[in-house]
Amino acid sequence: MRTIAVVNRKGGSGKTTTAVNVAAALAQRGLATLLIDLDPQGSATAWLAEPSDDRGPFDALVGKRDLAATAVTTRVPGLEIVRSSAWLLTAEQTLRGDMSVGVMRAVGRLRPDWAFVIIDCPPSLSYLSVGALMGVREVVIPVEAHAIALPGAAAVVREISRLQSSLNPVLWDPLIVACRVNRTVHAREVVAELDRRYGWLLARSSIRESIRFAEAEAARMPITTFAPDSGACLDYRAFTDELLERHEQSQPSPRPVPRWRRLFTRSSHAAALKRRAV
Amino acid sequence: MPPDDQLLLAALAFVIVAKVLVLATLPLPRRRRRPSMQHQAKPVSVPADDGDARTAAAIEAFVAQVAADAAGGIRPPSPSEVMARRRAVLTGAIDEPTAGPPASDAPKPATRLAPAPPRPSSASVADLAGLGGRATWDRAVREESARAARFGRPVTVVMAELPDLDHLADHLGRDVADRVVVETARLLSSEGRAVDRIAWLGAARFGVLLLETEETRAPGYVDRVRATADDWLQSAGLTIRLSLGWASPADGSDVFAATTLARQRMHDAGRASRAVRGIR
Repeated sequence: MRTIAVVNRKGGSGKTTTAVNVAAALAQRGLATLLIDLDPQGSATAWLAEPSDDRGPFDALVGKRDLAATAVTTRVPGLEIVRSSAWLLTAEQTLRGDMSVGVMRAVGRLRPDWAFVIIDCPPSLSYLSVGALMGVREVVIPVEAHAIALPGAAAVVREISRLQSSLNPVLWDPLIVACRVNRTVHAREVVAELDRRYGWLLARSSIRESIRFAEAEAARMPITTFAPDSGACLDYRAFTDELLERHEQSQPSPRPVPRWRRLFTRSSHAAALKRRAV
Repeated sequence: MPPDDQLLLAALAFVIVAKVLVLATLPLPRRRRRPSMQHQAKPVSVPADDGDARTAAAIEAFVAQVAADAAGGIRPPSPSEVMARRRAVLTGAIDEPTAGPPASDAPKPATRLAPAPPRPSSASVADLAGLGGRATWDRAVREESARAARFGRPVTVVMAELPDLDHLADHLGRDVADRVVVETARLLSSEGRAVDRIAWLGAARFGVLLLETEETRAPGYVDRVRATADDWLQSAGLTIRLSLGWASPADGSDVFAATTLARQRMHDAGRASRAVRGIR
């Protein structure tokens, strides 16, 4: 069972969109997937299920209940969701570190009934996010293709590196995916800058900016169901392929390519951009 | 010595040596340990899994470090400091196993507080605490609303309340309750800045306006206040806890709306805290 946390400090970077649509894409491939909505705002819950204010998820995260028992089915066959609750916000303020331990334990106690567990984290490196990062093995960081997102991405990568060394040594290096990439020169420059800074941490696939995501959310369906032939859906399918391929290829994290070597190696992402331009 | 006697002596010697050898190889029976005074003296139960407590302390230190990096250099508490504080909160400020008095002889909470200052007949708690009252708060909120509307500067409203204060006053007396309120007021003032505006809103409630502070930065102040208040109340042997809620004006709203939201979050935090502590 693979466990993935989708995390970024900055709101609007595409965390929920990535978590929901990657989970749906995996489920459509026949891989049973559980999506855990840890964001007290409940965006993923509102997208895929009926919002609920019961204490079930809260009780599961403090160890009084089994987290798997709080999962509900969605319209996507093979995809289940643990819904968010407003209790999470006050619980995080009150329990703090104990909340993180509760999340970590709840994720660790999950039975391998699903092939993938994807956790949509709140838009901050809070106790809920840290708990999720301590319970998973993989991290995805969606980064908006805008210059204002770069410092936040750098901070998150740095904090995850610190968390790897201090709290969760089995956590893989993060996979950064550029989201909301439009056709402007600015967006291409930002993606190139991400490639320059993070090299192999950056996913080859990027997610384009598309109004279809908002339409799919309004229709309460993932993009893979709402608009399966759209470019946005193809982007998420390509990213999902890359996620599956990543597991097969790398177990321990490979060392990053030294900066001087990057001068002599062709950037895979730059090549992908060129192909798209053509 | 006749040969029979020699034989008898040799047999006896053999039996004695054999017995000594057998006893030497057998394990000694365990002595039942009498319960020591130090175990009897522990008045409060310690959490069953201390490893989880250590992990939680490490996480709190990590989050504090992240917040400190974002704030630019305030020294966060180390994991050992966080752990010591948690241990003090959980075990009643007893860090080392000492042969203390049994729980039934523990001093009553009221006697642990310093004597209350002599109170003039017409003085209010706000006067004792050095804070403004309701009128001061209303004026401050109006002024900050106007300032935020005109200049677009950030402001965060923090509401603080001691929800079980009446219960405390019923059991320990009004003087003790007043003392708690005064100390809480001093705590809120000392942890804030000179520009922050603090007022006592009556009974057990306080309002704090954090000027030039966004909602995402308010937890720094809130966490300091909560930690210090918990330490002080726990060391004084009191079971009440300070509830805190905060909010900033969202787009299109004003400080009055933020005050309402902060009050609601304060109530939610108080309910969650009582639920966690098993108090109805």
